Amino acid sequence: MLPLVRFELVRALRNVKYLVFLVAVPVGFYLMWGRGSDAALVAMAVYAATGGALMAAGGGVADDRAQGWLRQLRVTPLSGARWLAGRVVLGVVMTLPGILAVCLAAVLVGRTDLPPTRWAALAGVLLAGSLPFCLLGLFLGLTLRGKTAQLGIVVVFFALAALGGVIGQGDLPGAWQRVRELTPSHSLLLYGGAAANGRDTGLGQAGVLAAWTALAGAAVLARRRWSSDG
Amino acid sequence: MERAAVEFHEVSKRYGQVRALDAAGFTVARGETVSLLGHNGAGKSTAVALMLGLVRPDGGRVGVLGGSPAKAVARGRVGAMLQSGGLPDGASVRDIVRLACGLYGGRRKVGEVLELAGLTELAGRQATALSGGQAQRVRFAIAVAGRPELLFLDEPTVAMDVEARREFWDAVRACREAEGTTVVFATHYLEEADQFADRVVVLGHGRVVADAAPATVKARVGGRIVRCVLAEPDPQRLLALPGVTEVTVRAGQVELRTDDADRTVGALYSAIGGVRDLEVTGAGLDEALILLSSGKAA
Repeated sequence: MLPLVRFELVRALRNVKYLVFLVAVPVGFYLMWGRGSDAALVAMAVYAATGGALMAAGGGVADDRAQGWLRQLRVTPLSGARWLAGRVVLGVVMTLPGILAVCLAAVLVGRTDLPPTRWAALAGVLLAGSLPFCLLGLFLGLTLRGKTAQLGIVVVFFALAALGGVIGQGDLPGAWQRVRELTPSHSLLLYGGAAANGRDTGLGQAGVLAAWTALAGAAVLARRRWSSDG
Repeated sequence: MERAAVEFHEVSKRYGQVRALDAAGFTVARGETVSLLGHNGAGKSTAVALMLGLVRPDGGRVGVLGGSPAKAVARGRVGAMLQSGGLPDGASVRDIVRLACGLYGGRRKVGEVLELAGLTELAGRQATALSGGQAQRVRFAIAVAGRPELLFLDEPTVAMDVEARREFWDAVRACREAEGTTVVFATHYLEEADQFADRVVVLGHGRVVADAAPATVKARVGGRIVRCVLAEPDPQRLLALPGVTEVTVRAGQVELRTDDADRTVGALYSAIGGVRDLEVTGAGLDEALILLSSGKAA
């Protein structure tokens, strides 16, 4: 599995478009609108974490399938389970550049001054909370084809970011606010905010994230079982 | 040590209505190089997919290196070049070879594999910027990165020109000689089977229609066809012409199968005469396979 993760990391880090989208954009947003605000720091770190996880775990999988690369890997000793695990590890690791860049901008430019334990708590929450996004991205990559897959991942990313309140301000009208409370992005946002402020968080948010993880994980496994091209 | 590298025991595989393999049976001994020969749709790729555990047989049994195909693959004892396998974008040749070496647990060094597949000069090139033949060599590199005991090559030289083909087979031969690797390759080129295999298993319509030394198969399916029109063809006299092995006469239309077209044609003009509409063609593999399937050429 490690050779695969290493291979995919090199591949991802060479992708300039990807780095702009996941590092430069959240840092830019933070600097433009949220300098100094803890809420903006957390929101942009969640942006980087969820985007990084979705794209790194799932982006490219559709192309790898179409080009026969996954079929080639299937005749090596790399088992399907290890391939899946590798993609998830990759997704989690690839959230780091964006998270670190946003935190660095907050420290250097926003003069945010958190105790080390809270920085660590924030990073820990974001890394763990990126898991359902990795699985979701992986499911999309295994299900959609070609360019549709890339587009689908971006659409899902922005939909979850907007619904979850990662981008945009204020409450959503009526029933939408209740939908917001069921999105994993919103849960992660609340969790991140609590970690940064040193507050306690209810178990409800953990429940939402766990449910999304279970759901997306089951979808990925079902998809793997029924597909012959990967 | 196991008796055979590959065992096919009455193996059948259907895809919907299509019978890809129909009670096909053959074995490949350790250290042997065997060619699976047949036209498109004869069942070659299905046989390779079965040997790699990519599909399961509907009937019969497939054994690889004394166990199941999936187990042999999981242990890294098998290397394969698939027809439908491809290379990823955003990665250099060296990246891919390094990954392959890593997946097989570092049994070979990256430089060694690059050298073996003739890719040293191309190591920095993006995989998507390679020619068809070069890409095939990368897939060969992946297949041999784990020092496999058994190597499956499914139509390995399809995208290659003559020179690339020669270099490719040199590399396979080097592997075979250095490691005693067992090689099974599928092809629809009779020449390739003849030059590189110890034994040829001919598949036709999902069945094994011949299993013999290359020379034997070549004698049966090779040769040329001479067609012409004669006023009064006499099958007995035609069969006596030099090189002729088989005669078919249909309403003045004559078809001669020969292993020496030059002498046959010469004798046709000098000894028989009145030859019209002469045509010499290679006996196509398809044609030969139909003959083999129906047992006429045996």
